[in-house]
Amino acid sequence: MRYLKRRIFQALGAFLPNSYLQGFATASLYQGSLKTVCSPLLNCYACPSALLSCPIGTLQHFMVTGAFPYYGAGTLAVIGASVGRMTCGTLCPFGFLQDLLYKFKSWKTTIPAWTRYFRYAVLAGLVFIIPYLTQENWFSKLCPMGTLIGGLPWVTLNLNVRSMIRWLFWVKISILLFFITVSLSVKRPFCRAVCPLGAIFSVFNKSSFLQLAWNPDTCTRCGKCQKICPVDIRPDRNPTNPDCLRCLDCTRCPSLKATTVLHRNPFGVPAAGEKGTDIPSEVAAR
Amino acid sequence: MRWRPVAFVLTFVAAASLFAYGYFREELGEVMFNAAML
Repeated sequence: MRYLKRRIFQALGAFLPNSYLQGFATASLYQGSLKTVCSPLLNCYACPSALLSCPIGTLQHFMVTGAFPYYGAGTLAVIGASVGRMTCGTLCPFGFLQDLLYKFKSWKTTIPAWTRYFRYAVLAGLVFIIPYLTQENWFSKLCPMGTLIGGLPWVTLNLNVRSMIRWLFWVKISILLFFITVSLSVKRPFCRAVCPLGAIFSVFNKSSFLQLAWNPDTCTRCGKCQKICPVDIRPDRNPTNPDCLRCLDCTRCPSLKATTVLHRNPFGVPAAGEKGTDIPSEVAAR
Repeated sequence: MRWRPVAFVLTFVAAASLFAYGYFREELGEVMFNAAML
């Protein structure tokens, strides 16, 4: 049931920020006041049906203009401080797509843990430093979500845009196809290794209001939580793991529960792991 | 851990300050301009 709820939230996260459907009919962008809101999702604001602004696009724009993005960074920091990476796990449309692709029967594998550091390099390089130096939004130029819901619809809808296709478009298509293909075999490869928005939210996981609690007294270390985890981590080994999407799928195990920094269950039921949001030293040493 | 609620409060206050500073600097207009320029 909880799993189905997450799928419903993910579907809403994909549809509601992109519900200006007349944008497709009129081949135009929504330019109302909602575009001043940075969505906490990787959702391209060049999509004809997008209602909200892309947070990463906004950060890059400010770097291009040589100004610090206080409003955009503040929006993301408030959300990160409240729920950590929860929007990645429950609302992000590109995460939803990767989750669905992984459901297909195919050869499955994992990616090395060190690839997680690459997303911080992408955040620093493609979102802050290179746009500042080159005055170009380089992450947006390469973003696979931008290609999927921004680039491809515009190429389909508008002949002028189609005539402007150059080599960069094919690079974007290749990146999109690469992540679609890899998502068939690896759990959320883009979120884990590349997403700069996930990199921002992940630094808040340790101190966010919403926390994951683990009860070492009831945990049998069976590892089933890793099997259902959409990013292939062991939440029992580190409930504050920066990779954790706070999707709460693992809370189907009674040893793991959603809680808060004040050790109170946000959903009204006593948290199973009130005494165990941190790893006991014998587990950490393994 | 006892430090976690303190870390949350400090982080949240810093985040809200950043947001409020950007809001009162009228950065929303720049965000809107950026979205319109696509």
